[in-house]
Amino acid sequence: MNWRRFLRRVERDRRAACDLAFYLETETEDNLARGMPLDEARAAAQRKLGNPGLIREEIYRMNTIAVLDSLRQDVVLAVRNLRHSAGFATAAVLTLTLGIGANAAIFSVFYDVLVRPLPYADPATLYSVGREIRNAPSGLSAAQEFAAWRTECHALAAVASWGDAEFNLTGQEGPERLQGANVTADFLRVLGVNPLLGGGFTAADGLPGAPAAALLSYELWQRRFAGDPSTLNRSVVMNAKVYRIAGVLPARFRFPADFQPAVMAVDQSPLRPVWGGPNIHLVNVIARARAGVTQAGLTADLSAVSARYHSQMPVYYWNPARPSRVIAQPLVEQLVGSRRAPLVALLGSVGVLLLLACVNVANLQLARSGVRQREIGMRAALGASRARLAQWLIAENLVLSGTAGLAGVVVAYALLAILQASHIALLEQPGTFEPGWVLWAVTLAMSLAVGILAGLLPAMAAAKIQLNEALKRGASAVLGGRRASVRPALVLVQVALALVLLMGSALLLRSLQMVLAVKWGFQQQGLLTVRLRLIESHYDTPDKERAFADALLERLTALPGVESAGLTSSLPLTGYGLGGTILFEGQPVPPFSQRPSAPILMVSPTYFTTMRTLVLAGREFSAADNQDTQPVAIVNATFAKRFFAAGYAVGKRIQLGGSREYVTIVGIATDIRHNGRETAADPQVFLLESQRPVNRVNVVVRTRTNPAALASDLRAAVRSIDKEQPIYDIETMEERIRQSGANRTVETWLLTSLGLVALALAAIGIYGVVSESVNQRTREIGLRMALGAQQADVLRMILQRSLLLTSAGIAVGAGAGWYLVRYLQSLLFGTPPRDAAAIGAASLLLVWTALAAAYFPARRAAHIDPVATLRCD
Amino acid sequence: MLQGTLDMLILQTLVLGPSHAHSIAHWIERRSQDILQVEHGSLYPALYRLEDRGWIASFQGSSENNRKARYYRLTPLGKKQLAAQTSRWERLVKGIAGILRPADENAV
Repeated sequence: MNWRRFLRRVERDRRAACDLAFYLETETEDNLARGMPLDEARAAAQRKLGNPGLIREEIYRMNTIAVLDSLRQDVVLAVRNLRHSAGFATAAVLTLTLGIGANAAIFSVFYDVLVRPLPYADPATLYSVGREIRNAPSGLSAAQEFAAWRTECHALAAVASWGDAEFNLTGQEGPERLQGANVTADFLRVLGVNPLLGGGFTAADGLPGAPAAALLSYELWQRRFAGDPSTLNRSVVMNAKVYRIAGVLPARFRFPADFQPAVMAVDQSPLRPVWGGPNIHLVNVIARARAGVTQAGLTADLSAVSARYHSQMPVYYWNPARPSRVIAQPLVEQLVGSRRAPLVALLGSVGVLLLLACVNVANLQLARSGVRQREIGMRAALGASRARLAQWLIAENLVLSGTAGLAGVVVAYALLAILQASHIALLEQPGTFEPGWVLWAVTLAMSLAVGILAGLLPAMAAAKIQLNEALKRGASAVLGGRRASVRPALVLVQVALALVLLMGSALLLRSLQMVLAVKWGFQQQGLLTVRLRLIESHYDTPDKERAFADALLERLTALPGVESAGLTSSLPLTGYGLGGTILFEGQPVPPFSQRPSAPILMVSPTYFTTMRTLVLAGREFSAADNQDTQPVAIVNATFAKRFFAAGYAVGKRIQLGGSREYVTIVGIATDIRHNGRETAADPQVFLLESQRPVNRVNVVVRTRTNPAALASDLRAAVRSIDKEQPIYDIETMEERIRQSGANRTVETWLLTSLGLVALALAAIGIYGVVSESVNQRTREIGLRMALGAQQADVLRMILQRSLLLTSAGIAVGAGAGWYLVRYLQSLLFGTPPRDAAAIGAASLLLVWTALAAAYFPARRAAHIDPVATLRCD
Repeated sequence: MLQGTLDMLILQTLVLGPSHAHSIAHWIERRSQDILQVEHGSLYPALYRLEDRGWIASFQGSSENNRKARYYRLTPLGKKQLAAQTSRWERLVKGIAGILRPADENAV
């Protein structure tokens, strides 16, 4: 095989033709010189040379690559053939397009999230280090412990910490709220990432008393500073403090957490360790292990360092009775671990779908091969070897799968666009995901594999053709008993595969149903929400905070279209932020580590009314409760149930967060699913914001009209009170809920569509097989009817057969599904993976579909005219 | 003609200087007193094969009767190949001769 020669074979053929012509002329001239007449001279020359065509052919063959050349012929032939059977070609290409497209899309996400290395230098040696919390690695540790590891742990090459922070960026463009992070100065060096602009933080930035420094995200730099390189070293004011811009992060920088901070600021306070204070400061720790240090080795070394400080750690952080472990978890595991299960489940499902599509195409091919016997037989008779015939059939499939591959790319991009738009957390950074070459590579690989795989079976069948038979019997010839057993077997496989996918869909639908049945505890329609964090420099006293809250409520309530407005220190679905230990009046005070704790929310008296959250017992907060009256609290139902006997919470007094002041519980509110409907409600305590002012002021507005339309009014109301106060994250409650539940919705939607496509494919398979068998048995059925069989008997006979086939498929599929559903476990809510109802529902759906698919050919069989069938042939 | 001998004969012909296919065939036939008839069906493929191996090179020239013709010439690699093939051929002839003529006669 020589590619250079192959590519130049046409030119060489021309050359050979010239050479041969020259020979003939010269030889003729020689012959003329010998005295022959012209005709004879020419004839003699031609005799001597032999057949020039043959010589050229031999040279041509020397230069070609036989397989490629014949493949080209095959492709041309295949295209012509497929054009003649457009129905088959359309069905096959559509089936494969869906299979290949879905696989290409999911695989590119799979690759991007789970296979592609993290964008850090030598990511395998990066770890997330921290204490375990509730038996799971948290990546969080006390700053003091982090500082000890940094100086004493020899297995570490470098270690940095970060904590999330929020910044109020002020300036000429107006105030803006930024999600940011505080990091130690060596953070980027630990990750091995260089800033796009500037040198990043230096050691000097970390020194006490050094001016504050910050790094900007590429996005913020582009948006707020127009991508101006002179931004470097300029000063900005955030949280009323001057920061020097020490650099801009690369566009593709990935912060090692599930959010991307717009600003990173230096915070070296975790490096000054003092145990024994009343608080510990928790930080996220990112560590780089020394070369050759294993995960176990690193964990052991870190634990050994920590053990030196056990005696100094407060008991609520490290309790000798229930000691928590230090865990070094590979960073990649911490970042993508939670996405593995859904991605594996999705990839498995689309894989099953592709397999199903292959079986479907093979089945269609077999159905067609009956018709094609004569053509294949003719080619064999004309000297095509079996290998050549097989190659021809596979080439035909490659044309199908190649076309499907191209269309599949379109489907894949469309699917990815939907995934990107749906806020699904499977993607790394929604909106920036670019599938790139992986999608094309995997599509190409699948097209080739599918073409060969789906073509193999018909090719094998073609190789078994008996020449004489095929030519003699013509189009009605069939492959005899053997093929008859192949097609039902294929349909059985289709039914089984479809059942597996349907079981998955059923389980996810059931989970979704269970989730949807959970009550939020408030009415989400018509609610507009916004988050505010008061600028510390403007609101440094409780009185100022209280004044702002009062003014804001007053202005909001006065807006047209607003029914009521309330304030809360944390909105549902945005985390808590505040919490505290609880002591009950009249009960013994347990040691610190054993005190129960609960999230605490500061709300305005109008909060519950605005949310339409029912107060089940006692009373709501009223305007009469203020800073001069006794402190009051409302607890939620879970709190009341957990800490008090039924109905006895109201009137009880508690102490919160170590404060000596008693707070009286005046009411019990319905549980609000603060962290989403899939998380059990926490016990919560609501305090009155006027009695305990905080700087977290989040607004809920109950509107009479479309809540989104009020966003600008809301913004204006805040600005009219304080024009430097930024507000951020204006969102309707419904939108918040939609985004929080996007994962489950999209996953369910995806798997259900896959299941339905699988169901359709299985139905096509059943229809094909039954209708073929009806065709074959026309005479037999006619005979039966002539002998007295009724239409109903024939109908029953045909349906029974397809039911048998379906049942066998269901049995196989249920077995496989029983084993495979455990991969879905982590995606389920409120239903066990081996849910009999799900299997039953999926099976029933398949049975009904199978019966429906078999009904049409069966009815045709029942209407056979016995006289006509017996007379023909 | 024996397999492989045509290649050697073509190479040998070209030692004398570049030549086109027609005269190569003629030359072989004449030198062998017409004992060896060059089958043209194999001459042309052989020329292409030798060219592919780099033993001969071709160029466009004009023939004695001023026609455009493709000329072939020996390359250094071809010269080496010819020497190797010739010595192998001579050994072969010697061996066969030894068998055909009894040892008591003087060997060639």
